[in-house]
Amino acid sequence: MSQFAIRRLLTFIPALLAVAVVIALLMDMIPGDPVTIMLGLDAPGESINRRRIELGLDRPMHVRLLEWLTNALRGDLGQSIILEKSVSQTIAERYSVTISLALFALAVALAVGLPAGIVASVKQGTWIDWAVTTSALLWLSLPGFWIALNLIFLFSVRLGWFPVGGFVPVTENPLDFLKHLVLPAVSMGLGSAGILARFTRTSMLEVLRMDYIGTARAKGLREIVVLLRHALKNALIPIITMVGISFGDMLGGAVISELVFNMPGVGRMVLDAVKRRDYPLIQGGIFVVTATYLMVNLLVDLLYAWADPQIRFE
Amino acid sequence: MIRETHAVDKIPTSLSDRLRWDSPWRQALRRLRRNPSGLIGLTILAAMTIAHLGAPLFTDLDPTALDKRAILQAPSPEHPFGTDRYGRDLLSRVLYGGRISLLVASIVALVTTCTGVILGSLSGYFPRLDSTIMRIMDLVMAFPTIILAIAIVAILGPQLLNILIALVTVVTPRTSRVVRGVILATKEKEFVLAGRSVGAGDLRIIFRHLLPSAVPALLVRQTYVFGISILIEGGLNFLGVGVQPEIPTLGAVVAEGRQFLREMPWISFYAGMAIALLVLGINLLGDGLRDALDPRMKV
Repeated sequence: MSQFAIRRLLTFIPALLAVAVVIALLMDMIPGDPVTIMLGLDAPGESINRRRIELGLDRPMHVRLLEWLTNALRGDLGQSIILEKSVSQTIAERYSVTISLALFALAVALAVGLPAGIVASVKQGTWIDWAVTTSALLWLSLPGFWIALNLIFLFSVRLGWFPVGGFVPVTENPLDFLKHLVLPAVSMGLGSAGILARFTRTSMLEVLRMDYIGTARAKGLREIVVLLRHALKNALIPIITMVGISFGDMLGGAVISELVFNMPGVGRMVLDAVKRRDYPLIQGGIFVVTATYLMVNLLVDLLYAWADPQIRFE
Repeated sequence: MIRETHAVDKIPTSLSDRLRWDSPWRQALRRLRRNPSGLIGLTILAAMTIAHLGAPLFTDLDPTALDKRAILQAPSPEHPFGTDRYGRDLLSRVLYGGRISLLVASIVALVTTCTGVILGSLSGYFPRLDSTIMRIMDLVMAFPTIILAIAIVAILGPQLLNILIALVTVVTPRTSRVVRGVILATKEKEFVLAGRSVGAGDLRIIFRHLLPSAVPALLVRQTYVFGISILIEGGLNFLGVGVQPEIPTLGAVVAEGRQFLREMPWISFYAGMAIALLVLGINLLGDGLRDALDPRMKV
């Protein structure tokens, strides 16, 4: 296991580097001169040149990339142009919003998707199965931003149960923190819940057909023990990967929830930076979100290897 | 019953036998016709396609025409979906807006079929190319989908073509993995080795012997790609990093309605509903196709 962990860890570092290089290349592909865009077309050539040198844009691409990487290693992602603040600090202030949002959405997806999939597989062919598979398909077909608006209209505007938007840190008021996260998490989690429910159902049905399940039943074990201890435990293995992918969707999808629910997260920061062409902020934001996703995938792979010993020896 | 046994017989040679022969495709079509979810999906999708492509048949109003006297009106016989803050008719905006979704999804599904087939077969067939191509695909998949799409559109500029580039980039890796998977599983089979032993070249083996096996899985995957593309395109336009603002799109209409949600929830409602119906229709059809093309995948 530790050997597998080390091998997997060793692929994480080049992946992180590759991601940083790709983002830097993408930033370099932006047509036109960022300084001209920032200062406007009618800005005097002298001030454009001065700003270029200030931002270090007069040096070749690979030099800037190398500098960005060495600074990033020390936790310095550069200066935001618009906010006139360090990128790392800006992200640090917003990171907890995005992570809480993604974790809560994942919790919703798991809490709804897993039981729904298990029940559907056990009741295969009945109306319950039909109801689960149909609603799962419906959830994953609805655009998240539209679910969000409908939830706000119903539960905030009409019923007044939840706030329309905003974010309260957990340290300030845990109850308010939860209240502010319910609607965004549900709007993001439902689609993944649909995907997870379908996946769990398929995975469970495959396992339930195995011989050892018949053996377990023949031994006279109670059905619930057969289902949970024997079937679910093995059916969960492929589901772990799916959960990792879902988490990536949540990290990305947070952009939409943060916009709709007016939450100060990293996703909305990237979106605002895109609209205002604040390149250091875009670069840093995308890097941090992607690095988080890579880290989650690393954890998922380790979990997977722990759950399924066959993987470790491939 | 006779037809069923005929199906497993050897492939007939005479023309009359061939006409009666139950090819796998014909069997699949028959299964699809008996599949309620596939049929419902096809019906929804067909109805939505007719509504969007035939938009001028259902409304005389121009989706971009401003009307100062009809700002923010509730649904009425004249404006069945109401009007937006510039007095533009929302029914026509939804009907015409869906065209962009259909256009984007069709192009992305077609182009990624090509990119997926090319990259997937190169990777599955030539072991030397495999790790390079797959590492690049992994790299693309390392980014959260919507973040990468936003970044690409941000860099290239908000235009229809750039939305397409962004979507093709984020969709291609998984499609090429589907093709690669089938090629890897098929290339050591006897009929392929037989083909090679009689001197068939690499291209002939890939196109005549390997890719036909990938068609069912690819068809199912690309149906879902159609739906995914509509959702991502809707999301990008909702976020304001989509096509040029003067083009009506479903995502942009939902976004416009956001600030009037309290008093006029219908502005966002119908446009979002149109996206939901399109995606639901295509996903139902995808499930139907999956069950019909590969009964083993149905559990």
